[in-house]
Amino acid sequence: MKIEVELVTEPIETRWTPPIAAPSSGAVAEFRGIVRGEENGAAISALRYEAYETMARREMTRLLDEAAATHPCERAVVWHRHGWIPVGEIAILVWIEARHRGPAFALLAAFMDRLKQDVPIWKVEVAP
Amino acid sequence: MKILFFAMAREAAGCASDELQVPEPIAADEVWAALIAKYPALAPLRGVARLSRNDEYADADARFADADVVAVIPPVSGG
Repeated sequence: MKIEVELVTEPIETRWTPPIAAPSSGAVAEFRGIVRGEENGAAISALRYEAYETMARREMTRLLDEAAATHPCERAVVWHRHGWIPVGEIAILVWIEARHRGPAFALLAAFMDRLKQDVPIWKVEVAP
Repeated sequence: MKILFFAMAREAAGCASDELQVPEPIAADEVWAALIAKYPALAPLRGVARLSRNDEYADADARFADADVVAVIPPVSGG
């Protein structure tokens, strides 16, 4: 599986251009994780994420590789933003391309579950 | 040995990185003991945070060398 992982500090919305899917791909699953306007029951306007960049890239690549052994897909692209992210903007964007939808959905779900356990990125601060 | 602190660990240590002089090879338990001796505020993170060695999570039986980059990784919350 082809894997591209990026950590960015600028808005993903303005930079993201969906890749052109390979002719063999019949499914694309795209997930956008958005900053919610509430954290621990209180209204917020932004969240600050901190990343251990070199390890976060390596862990995301490793987790995608591992998940692809069970859910074979053609390509995975992950962009995770860090620094201050205003409410409503994308914190993570995951693009999975596969021959069929089953492995695309499964890889996406498995990757997001593992990311939340193992990838060294933290929500460290909120702005009211 | 270079030590990196992130998130809660950075706040507890009061800095983002440090150099630790330790005899090598050193076990994870001994790394923690040396860290807590220098930064007592890290004590509550022991048992909660994980250690990485050169950008990979370290196994419980890992041995750390002076040239390693070790990071204190509190529970993560990305995504």
